[in-house]
Amino acid sequence: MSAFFLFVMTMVFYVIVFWIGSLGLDLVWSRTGIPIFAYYLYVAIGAYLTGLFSLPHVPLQNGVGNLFGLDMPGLLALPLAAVATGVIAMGIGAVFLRRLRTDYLAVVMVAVALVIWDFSQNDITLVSGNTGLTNIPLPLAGVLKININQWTYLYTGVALVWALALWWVMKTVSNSPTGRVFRAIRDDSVVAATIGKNVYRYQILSMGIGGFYAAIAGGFLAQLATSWNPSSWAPFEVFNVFTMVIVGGVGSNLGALVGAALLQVLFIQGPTYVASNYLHSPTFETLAAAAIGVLMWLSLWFRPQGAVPEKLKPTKWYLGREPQLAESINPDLTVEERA
Amino acid sequence: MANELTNPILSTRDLKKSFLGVTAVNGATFDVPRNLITALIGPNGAGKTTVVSLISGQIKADSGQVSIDGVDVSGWPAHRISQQGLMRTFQLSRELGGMTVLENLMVSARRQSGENLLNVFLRPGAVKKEEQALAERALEILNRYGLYHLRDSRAQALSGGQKKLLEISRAVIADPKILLLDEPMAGVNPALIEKIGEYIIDLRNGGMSILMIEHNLGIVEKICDNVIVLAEGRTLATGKMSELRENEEVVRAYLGEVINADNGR
Repeated sequence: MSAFFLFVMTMVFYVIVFWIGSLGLDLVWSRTGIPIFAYYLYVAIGAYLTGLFSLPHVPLQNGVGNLFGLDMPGLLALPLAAVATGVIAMGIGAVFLRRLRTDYLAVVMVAVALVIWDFSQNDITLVSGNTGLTNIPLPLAGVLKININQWTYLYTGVALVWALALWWVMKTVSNSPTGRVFRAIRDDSVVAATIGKNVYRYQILSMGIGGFYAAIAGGFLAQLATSWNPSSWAPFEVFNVFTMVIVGGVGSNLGALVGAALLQVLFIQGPTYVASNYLHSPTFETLAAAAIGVLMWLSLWFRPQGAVPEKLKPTKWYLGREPQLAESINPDLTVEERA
Repeated sequence: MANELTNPILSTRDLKKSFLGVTAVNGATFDVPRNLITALIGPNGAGKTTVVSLISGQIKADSGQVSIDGVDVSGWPAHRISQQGLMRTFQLSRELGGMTVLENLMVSARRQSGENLLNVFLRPGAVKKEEQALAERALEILNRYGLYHLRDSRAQALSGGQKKLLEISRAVIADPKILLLDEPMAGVNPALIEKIGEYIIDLRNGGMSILMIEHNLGIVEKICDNVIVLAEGRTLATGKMSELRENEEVVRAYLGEVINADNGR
């Protein structure tokens, strides 16, 4: 197989993984209205835990080891890490959503991500500092005795199965009465409380689901790279995911896929490939990354609804048939009121 | 009235609230009788909206009690007070703008099993049935309030009057025991004012208890059974509008100018 084909498969893998990541962010931010700038922290926690769980247990010696090592098959380590991350995300939500709202919450979320990022650079006991986790096993590779190329194709398929399942789950959640409560909280959390919804509890639930999705994405990233360290997840990477959601279409599950594909192909993986194989210019790569900011700005300016706008469900969708009441326009309203 | 007042649907006792040293509510004590329309009137700054927000839990009182249907809800969070059977509307309409008009109503209904994710995934059939029935009910209410043709519009696209109606319908679908209306007719054209008045009377005739803030005394006289006058954060008087016109204190605090203005019409 040619190197180019491997590159394409890797890119497809990234698109799928960031689709999953964007779905989670879309739920927490676009559908529940929480400015979750710590989202990439959840990606990182998922990646670290997936790595730690699939590496062997090493007792601490001079403060170094792998206490979380479970030597698990990577296919199992991934969902376990995601569940754990979901729980951690709910914990973070429970603390910070208690009293903070809007801009203050957003600032604190950035701060939380930065603090933990800093911790990950300096802590050698849990996450091995700047070295990070290395030699994270490729799931299934040993069992099936396949090389890295074959593994990439296989695991892209595994990621796709995950993505389709998680897409279905997200679609089901967002179309459900629970999803409707999330959207009510996004539109006006005071009204949501007024109509009897426990805003705090639903926000925490949203955070938990979002954390799960982020962690699945993070786990896949760590497995593909076979390593994870602080340089894999600078907290501002979160703005790439925000851009995917915005460009694709806020509140749209398919938009998340379009946004992930657009950014990965044209602004991240594509330029990296071109830079390293043809231009031999790291500057080009950096400029492409900077262009993501411009893309977000242009998108917000010219097409704020994104490539695939959020579609609201019509009455017919709820009823399962056309509504049967005759169109009755209240005759007592003035023309202006009817407009 | 005696029976109604011994068993009020809503009562407040000595409610107090200050904001940064400014006293907004200073000992509001009143009872709202069952199955009647009660007006809450008073000059600007009397603390009417604050009282409504204290009752419905959007703002925490510094002290005092609120009870709904005999249950002490003092200090409860807003969603629990709402679940106790209280709904409110806002002076400036607060629609859920990114949702359709139909969804604005559906989300407001009580006890939806699909609001628990376990049911969404484990009992999808039951949830779907419930949703269909709920949509039917929401459509009937929209029809009643002249919003049926707007069912699939985004709520933020509605006009001011339509948003007022949406707030009322959103409250009605929850079938509250007590409905608090914060100036339901403010900024609305005269034809619609009449209409909203009729809607409110219909709700009372259907057994609902209503407390409404209203500045237009003509309307108060016409549709309200009972009036509470608030001034400087305190309950000044309660009674029928005709009685209050005779009350010197009330006239001095509030009615004087308005009565003169009314005579001019």
